[in-house]
Amino acid sequence: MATTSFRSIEITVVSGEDLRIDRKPVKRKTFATVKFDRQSFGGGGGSTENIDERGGSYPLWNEKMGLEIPVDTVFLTIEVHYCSNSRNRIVGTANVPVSDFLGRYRPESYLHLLSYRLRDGNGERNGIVNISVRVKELESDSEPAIASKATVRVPVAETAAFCRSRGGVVIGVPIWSSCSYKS
Amino acid sequence: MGGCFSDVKGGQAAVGGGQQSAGNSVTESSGGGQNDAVDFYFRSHGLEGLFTQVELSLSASKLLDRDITSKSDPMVVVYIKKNGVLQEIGRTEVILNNLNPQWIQKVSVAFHFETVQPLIFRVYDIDTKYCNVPVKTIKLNDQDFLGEASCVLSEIITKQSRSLTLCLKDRDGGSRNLGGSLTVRAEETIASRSIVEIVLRCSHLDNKDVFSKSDPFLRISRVVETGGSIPICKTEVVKDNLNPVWRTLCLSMQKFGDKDNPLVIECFDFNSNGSHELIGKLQKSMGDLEKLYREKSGANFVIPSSHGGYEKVLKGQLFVDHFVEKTQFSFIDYISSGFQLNFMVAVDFTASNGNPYSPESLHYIDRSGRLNSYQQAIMEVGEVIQFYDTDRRFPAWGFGARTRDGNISHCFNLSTNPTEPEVEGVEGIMRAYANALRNVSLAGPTLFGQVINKAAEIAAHSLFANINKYFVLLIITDGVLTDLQETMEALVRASDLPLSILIVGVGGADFKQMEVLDADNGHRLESCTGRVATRDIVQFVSMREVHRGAISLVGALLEELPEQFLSYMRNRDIKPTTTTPLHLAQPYASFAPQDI
Repeated sequence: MATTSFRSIEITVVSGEDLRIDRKPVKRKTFATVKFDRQSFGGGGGSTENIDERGGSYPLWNEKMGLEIPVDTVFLTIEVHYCSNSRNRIVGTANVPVSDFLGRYRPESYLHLLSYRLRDGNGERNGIVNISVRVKELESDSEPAIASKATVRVPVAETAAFCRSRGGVVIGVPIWSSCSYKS
Repeated sequence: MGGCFSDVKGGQAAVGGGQQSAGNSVTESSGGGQNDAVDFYFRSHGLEGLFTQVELSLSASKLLDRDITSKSDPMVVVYIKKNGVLQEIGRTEVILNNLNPQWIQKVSVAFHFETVQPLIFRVYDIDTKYCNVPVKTIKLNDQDFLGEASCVLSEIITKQSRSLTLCLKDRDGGSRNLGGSLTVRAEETIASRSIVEIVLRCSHLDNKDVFSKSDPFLRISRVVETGGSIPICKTEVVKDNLNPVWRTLCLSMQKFGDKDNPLVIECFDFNSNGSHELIGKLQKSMGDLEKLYREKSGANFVIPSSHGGYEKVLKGQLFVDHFVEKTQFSFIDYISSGFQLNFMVAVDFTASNGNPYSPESLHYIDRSGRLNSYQQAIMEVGEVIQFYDTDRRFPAWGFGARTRDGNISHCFNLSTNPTEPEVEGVEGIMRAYANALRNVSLAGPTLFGQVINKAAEIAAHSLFANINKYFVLLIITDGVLTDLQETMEALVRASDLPLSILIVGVGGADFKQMEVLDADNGHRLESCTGRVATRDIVQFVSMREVHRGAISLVGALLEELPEQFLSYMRNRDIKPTTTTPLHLAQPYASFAPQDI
């Protein structure tokens, strides 16, 4: 697996708009995760700034994540969840084609500001998620890329630990899977 | 930031907080703010110093009640009369269920000392089903008319109080009083780059509702020297909460005066019947609020006692959770510091324009030299864009015609040179256009997709060189579009680039489709794959409306462009290169959010 080449990207899930559950505006607190290849990142588990504390249907997360994605990744999936005591429910998901920010014609380090329609479990339209993506410039060869991979992953592990200590049933599971992947 | 609300919710949205939306969502239009791009154009055309920009604040009392079960939902539309034609210059917001409204949204107008500028104010009762849509898109014919008032702008300015109260009369200068009066106050606007981002929170507010808790919102007004106060913004309503936190407010110096100017902050309990109950109020300047933020202390609300002159101090307190002073650069700041606008032109050569040899055609080649509709549009629009274009070289394309080689092309060079689309100046476009008209035959269908993608490619390519170029594609068309969905896809992809599309409609066609593309109704364009336009990049101008005199060409062309340009630059945090040093501008930014 170490032999496949990766691109490192910096993705920020900025905000959501007009989020709904059963057609009614969301009132609870919400957070967002980014997934690819069945791994999940972010999700604001414990660090308060990544859950929108005010709650409501126009949340602001500004959750920044550094990711290493295999070059053959086609989609990233963004999931918006709402916090509840019993279980986390997904408000909506959006598929982000990697070609939207790794396409030709743009300088590598360009800050892409992108927005996507969220769809709920039944495929119904549900709100919008705003993200920004910056692709880190490719360093000469694959060797330095692996080095940076390790440093990038550290904060993710921290978040995960934090989230477990808070005792939430929250999103601990997907993040741990990412960590196990790392080692 | 309206969004989808059901009717009552329209009245609960924030007004005037000018949220420079933190994400990359479509920015709220400056609504009534002055357009410095238009000013700059006029000033450099010899009108310097002949006018000042003034802002009109409007309030009314004892309006007619048109609604049966509730009260009227009033909005004012302001017109200026030029050569006998009414030109709309602005609208206020809609206030829910109120016969004595004080509107927050200001209307900005250039005061020319030497000319008589008759103003007409029309007050409408807006049907509740429109209360949640952007006011600009409200069709006035569907609304109840509450009265009209008129005066000359200088009448207001020359009053010592700078305000004038007018009786509301019948439509079109009728003399019958309809009841109610409108007060107009004029103030000179101070251009300022300084804005304050502030988060306000309250605790222990009094409960005013019986079955639930209060639904509080704040209204901030600026105390003015001539007496009274002018509302500058109101927050959204936080439902059922005695310890509310409101969204970030962005207030420009233009709105709040200076840091010592007293502001009245009132907290109300929202009531859908329009009679919002005062929970408490207090008076603080922006400087005082900054102090509250730094000391992390609260200020108590007071309420005027029902008997006697004293004020009762309440338990409810106001806190400032976040206070950052920022410099917000204007369009002109960018342009004058070396940012470049580059225009590109695409002309519609489809058969729907009519045979160029028949006089009814929009492409008619008149032997006498009279300009056809396209030539007129190129000349008039060209004059404005050439002013803002840096090198006066325009890539010029045509679309929808059968070219010499017998194929239909949806993006061909107007010039005779097949490898070089650029032509020089407006004359160059005119020459290339006339040349192309002789060399191609009109065909179809009308596809915008390819020219937009071509323009996007150029804009994207420029990013490799530098970030201080912004592109504007001007599409001149008769407006019958075949590839609406593909055009939307192209626009959605282009919304991430330094590119705006200006569509100029010629002829008498129905421009419904163009209005869909110009996302002014608040719906963001969406591609079939689920990607959504990051920002509005389209502006549509109908030459028919311009020639009717209903709108001014310069104003219409430049109406949204500065806002679109700024939304691109600000969201990416790109700053003008040579202006006042920034470290002076953001003294508190360093310990802002993490302290909360």
